[in-house]
Amino acid sequence: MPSPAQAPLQPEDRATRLLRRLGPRRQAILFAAGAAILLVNVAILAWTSQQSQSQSQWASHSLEVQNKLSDLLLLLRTAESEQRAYILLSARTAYRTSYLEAAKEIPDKVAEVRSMTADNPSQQARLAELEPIIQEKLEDLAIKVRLLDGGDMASAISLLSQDKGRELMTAIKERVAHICAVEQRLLATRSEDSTRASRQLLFVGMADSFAILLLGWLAISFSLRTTQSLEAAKAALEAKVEERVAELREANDELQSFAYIVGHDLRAPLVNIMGFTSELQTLRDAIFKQLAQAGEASNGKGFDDKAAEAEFDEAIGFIKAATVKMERLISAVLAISRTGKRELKPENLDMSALVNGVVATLAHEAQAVEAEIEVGTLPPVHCDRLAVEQVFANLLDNAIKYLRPGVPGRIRITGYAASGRVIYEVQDNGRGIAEADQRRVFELFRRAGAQDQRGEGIGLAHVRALVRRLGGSIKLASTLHGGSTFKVVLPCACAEQ
Amino acid sequence: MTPVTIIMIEDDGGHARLIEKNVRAAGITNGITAFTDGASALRHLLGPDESGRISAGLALLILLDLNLPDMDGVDILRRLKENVHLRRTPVVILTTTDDEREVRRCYDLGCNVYITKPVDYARFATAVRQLGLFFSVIQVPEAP
Repeated sequence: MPSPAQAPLQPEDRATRLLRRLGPRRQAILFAAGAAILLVNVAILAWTSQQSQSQSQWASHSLEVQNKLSDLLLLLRTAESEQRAYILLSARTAYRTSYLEAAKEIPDKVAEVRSMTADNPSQQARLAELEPIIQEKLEDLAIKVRLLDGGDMASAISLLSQDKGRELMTAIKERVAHICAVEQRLLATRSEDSTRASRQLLFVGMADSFAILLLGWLAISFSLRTTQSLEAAKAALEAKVEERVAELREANDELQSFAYIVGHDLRAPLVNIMGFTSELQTLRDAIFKQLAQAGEASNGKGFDDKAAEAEFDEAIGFIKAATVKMERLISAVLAISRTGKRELKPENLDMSALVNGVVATLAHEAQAVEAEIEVGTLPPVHCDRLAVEQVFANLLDNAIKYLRPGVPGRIRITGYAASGRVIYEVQDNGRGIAEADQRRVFELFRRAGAQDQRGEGIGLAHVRALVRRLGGSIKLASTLHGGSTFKVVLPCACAEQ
Repeated sequence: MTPVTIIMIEDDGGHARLIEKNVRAAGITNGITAFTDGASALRHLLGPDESGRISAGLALLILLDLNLPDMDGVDILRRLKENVHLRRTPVVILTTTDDEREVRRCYDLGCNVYITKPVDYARFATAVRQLGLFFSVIQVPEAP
């Protein structure tokens, strides 16, 4: 397999590297970038929409100014024609009133236009030019009306026929048209601005969307890559764990079959030792009988056959005791190795009933030492019946065996379930185990305290092997002379094998 | 009826001697041919051509230990039970192995009696002597 450093750098690899270089904070960075873009987006949208609103406001403002100007022209024309009708149609007061109304409104209109264009100095200048002409025009109209009011109809008519009124009107019309045109231009620019603003908005929106899409793509490809590499790592790890478990299992199996084979192979010579020792013992009687007879004949010179017989018996006795002990030890090794080989058959166990059953088998022993055994309500477990029975039989047997002399035995079995496990406690008020011995007692062939009871130091080693095989653990809390509590922790459902 | 010959396949000389002593103690006077490894025992029983014809017409009783130095006693049992001339010959397994699966396997292969050697000599002696009594009443067919 070529090392990654030697492999040519693919564009994809480069992207991956870039992403990897971003480090573990890359997701946060992407998120922050996305959030920032969104924020900018919102700000730009708000600004642009406000902008376009004011643009359209300005556009409608221009239109309004134009409207006011045409109103003004209309008023001027109305005033002029009403005044003319008043003069020509021999002083009919209805025309005069109409004229007065129109004339009175004109300065107001002018003022309105002025205030509306207050933001625009050039338009103000143009208005300033226009206003005296309008003033003059109004003055011109007023003179004629005053003449007629004074009864001088002829002068009024002659003034009408002069060109001054028309000239003034033309001048006014020109200027108003000019101001209107300027507003029109303004309107055009403003609507152009508005269009540009909305176009900008569109571009910004598109750019933003693109950026967000890009970020999204990055984030997705990222998490895909991360997931892929995580999955690959997980698969590799699982394979490794499986491999290790298989190796351990193999080692364990080997150890177990080792114990088994050693046990058996040690048995074979033991059969011989015991067998021929017995044969020797049978021979012994014949030999010493013979010796006794011979001794009598030779009258006991030098050889004390009685002493020899005693020594012979002592030697044979030691050999026999040793072989018996060795046989028990080998049987223990075989029993424990058999525990490891036996197939577990998990079933639902009513633990209260099971422990009460175990207690019943030990009732005789308990009664002999006047020990009281109390079984609480125990949580059920899905486990191998025989193994669990052996565990409790051993623990209870120990509790009964190692009571404090002179103290009535009280043994309690309690239990509870907690987070997928069941915990059973076997508590006694017996002699207890010194802290220094608390580890040793679980070891094979090791015992603690006064050696006044028969035993090989197998029980607790066997219990621990069983509990471990069931996927659980066993703990001991004890003080010397203060009783012991063995805590058995088992999974709610023991493994099939 | 030809007298039954006991073929003892046992690698441990001590065991062989103890077995013989106790068989004799049970009053069995039949000839005992002892082998200390599987190969030579098979050679004797099956002959150089491995057909087993060499044993045809003989009344045999085979006492077999499973833990042999050169081969698995179970394989010897299988070879004997597969052989047309020897398959009816009674085979007594007398071994230290007391594994349940091993016992079952031997019976599946056609062993007639399976006895675990007790370490305790008194029990060992009793077992072998009882086996001897069994030999005295058992009907052993002649190998065809």
